Amino acid sequence: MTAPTPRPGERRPDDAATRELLGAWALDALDEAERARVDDLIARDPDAAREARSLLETAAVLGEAMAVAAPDAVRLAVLAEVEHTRREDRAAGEVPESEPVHPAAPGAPAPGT
Amino acid sequence: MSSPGSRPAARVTADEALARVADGDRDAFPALYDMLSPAVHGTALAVLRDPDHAAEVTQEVMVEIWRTASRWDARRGSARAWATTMAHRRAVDRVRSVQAQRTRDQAVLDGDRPRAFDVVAEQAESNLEAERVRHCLGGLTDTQREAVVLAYYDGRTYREVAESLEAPLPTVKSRIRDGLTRLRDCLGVAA
Repeated sequence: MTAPTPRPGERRPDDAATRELLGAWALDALDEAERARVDDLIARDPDAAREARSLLETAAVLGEAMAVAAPDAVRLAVLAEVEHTRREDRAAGEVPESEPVHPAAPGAPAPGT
Repeated sequence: MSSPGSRPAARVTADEALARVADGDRDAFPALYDMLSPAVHGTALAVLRDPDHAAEVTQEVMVEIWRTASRWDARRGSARAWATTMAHRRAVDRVRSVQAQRTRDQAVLDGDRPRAFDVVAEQAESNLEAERVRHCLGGLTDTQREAVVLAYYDGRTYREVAESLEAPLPTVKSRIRDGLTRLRDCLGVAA
């Protein structure tokens, strides 16, 4: 089940069959193993990746069409939660530049409170 | 509610706000929340059909957007699509885990939950985007539409779709891919 590391341009025998799964992939309608096969194909095949992206954008419109306001309580909860939630760095690290590395250095004033 | 033509501007602004949040601008987040949360919540609600579950997913996703904003790549899609995709994935995960607990009794599910397409029609009634989607869904064959709607709005795997439609797996796979492709072209999503 563990697929080899995908290399751009590399082909696998079942690529054509995997490509048939792109629609179901975009709708989150695959099981884990099938999803992994599609992700692997997308990593190797730019043309499949393009199709995948466009189908995923299309699926998103199906969701956007259902837009409806969330309860006010959710807004309050989210805005409170992000106050103490670290953002991932661009370099995929966990430490944003605006927050201290350590939760509270001894003697340091609490940031932003 | 919103004036005609306000949507494209809102789309640009959501992208910009997300870019600012990714750059570390905390003050941009409340506006970003206001722009993205309706699509996130609506998607979750459509799939989950339960206000409490939908609210929880909305909260999770909006915090996740805050946390991982720097991963968003504008070249790969709009902020709204990114958020909606995240919401759909989480909602589907939740449906499947709830289903697993219920031993996935399809008969119970079918009895409990209104038909997906009716929900689409009701929940989305007053929204322009919904008008477009309904129009374009109408351009699919009946079998394509059924497969796409069951998979997306009901959160079913294509295997489950095949079972409930009593259709062969390869057929359902193609219906979904072809239907979604036709939908893409109708909606004018860049291929």
